Amino acid sequence: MSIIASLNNVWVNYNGFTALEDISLSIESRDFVGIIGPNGGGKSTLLKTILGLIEPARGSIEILGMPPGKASRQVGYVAQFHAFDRQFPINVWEVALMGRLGHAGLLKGYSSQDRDAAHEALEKVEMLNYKNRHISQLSGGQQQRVLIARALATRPKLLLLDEPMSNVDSAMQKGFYELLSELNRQMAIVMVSHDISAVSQYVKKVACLNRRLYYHGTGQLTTEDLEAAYQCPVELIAHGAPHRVLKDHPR
Amino acid sequence: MLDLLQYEFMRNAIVAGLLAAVACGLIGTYVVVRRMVSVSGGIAHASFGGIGLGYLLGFNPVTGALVFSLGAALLMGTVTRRTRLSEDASIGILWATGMALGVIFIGLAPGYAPDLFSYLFGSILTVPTSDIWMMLVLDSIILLVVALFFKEFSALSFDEEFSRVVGVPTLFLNLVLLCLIALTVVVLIRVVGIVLVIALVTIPASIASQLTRSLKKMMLVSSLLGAVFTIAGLWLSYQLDLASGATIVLVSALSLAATLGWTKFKRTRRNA
Repeated sequence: MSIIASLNNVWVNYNGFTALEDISLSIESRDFVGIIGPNGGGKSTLLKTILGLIEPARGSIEILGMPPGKASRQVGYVAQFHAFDRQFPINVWEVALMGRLGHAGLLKGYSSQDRDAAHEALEKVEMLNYKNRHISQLSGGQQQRVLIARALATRPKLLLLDEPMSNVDSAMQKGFYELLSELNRQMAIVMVSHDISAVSQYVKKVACLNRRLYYHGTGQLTTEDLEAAYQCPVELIAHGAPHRVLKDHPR
Repeated sequence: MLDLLQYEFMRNAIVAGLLAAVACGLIGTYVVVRRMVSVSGGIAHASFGGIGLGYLLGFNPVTGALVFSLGAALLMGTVTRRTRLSEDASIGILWATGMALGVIFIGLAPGYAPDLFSYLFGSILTVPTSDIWMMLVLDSIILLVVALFFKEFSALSFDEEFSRVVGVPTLFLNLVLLCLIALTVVVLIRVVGIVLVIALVTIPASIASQLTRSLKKMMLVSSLLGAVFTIAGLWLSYQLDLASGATIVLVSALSLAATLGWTKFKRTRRNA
């Protein structure tokens, strides 16, 4: 397995305080890493640092052998379902094409290769039939699928997802995780979430972030990790095999 | 109305109205979907400093307005990034400072400023041919730049963070868009005046946003609406002997109210 991304002793200051403290993390080509942690623990900041949107104060980051930001054509990003304007005059196809902006370049139109990539991405998330729909005519889950298609249109080697389930109703979430597992066969995925139980079932590795990162490169976290991250005693719930976030523990 | 076309001032007025409609259709669309209305108001008012400087130093006040509105646009785009001033505050400060400079310059200028009022509230019937040429050049620049960066401007307006992530030079393009707003302000000054510019930038595009679901159609529809409003306002002001700029704005505002009323009526009927 090759290394897709590596962070070495990264510190980030954000609005005058330390948001990330001494983060070291390496992500391999078929990793599916779930990052959990309390609100304000720096989960989104970590993704934005990997994307090059935020400069670290100290430490080094390499994405596919390049500084962050330079690797943008090979990184897909699905931001937290922020309040983007649902009335904005844009349809599904145009949103998916946005993923190709970096490939198409300035002063040029989209090439047939760009169109193919957007087409393929919409097909993968099963939204091709909706390609001419205006975004306001979609459900929350469908909008989220389109945003994932937009990230896939870049044909990424690394896919970063920030709270991807927040706008998806619980009945649809299973299908969503299955889609992510399938995508994971072709790319590394890092997913930020506050939903520990959901993360536990589908991801391969779990990390806990609260300014510091608690991570052992495995699918399990220790009680000490969680308590350190959440700064309070954490009740442990062991899930059945095959996936388990927390180790078995005596009751 | 046809017999009025024999007068040069009337032909100029109609051409000026149409040129204004193109600028407000293209740029008004971005201003409305990106919520840049107050930035546009700030740029428009700051340009008054240039009008005053034109009076003081004896060059065409519209040229002064061009320099000042571009300067204000670039300042607004950079000041908030380089300082801790909020965007909101910097808009207000540039807005008032530009106006204050204009007042001081005009006060220092010898004699009396006869058509000052026309720069503030528009005077479409007195647009000289030289200004028509200037408007045509500015319109062409706006059209060309929008065509060149259409996909980036659309993406930037919809989701700036994502655009940055995929490598779009968002800082640069934001400045370009602010400069296009500045050019639009200058195109509109002769038609509705500095104080009323904001109406033509926002009203046609707001109506178009109710009727269309793509940016290109929204631009086309708001340009057409802008043309209808300026010509109808011009005709009405001529018939009723009212101020032309203000009449154009009121025609636009009443049309917006009618559109909103109509869409609401249709929606309630569908739900009933």
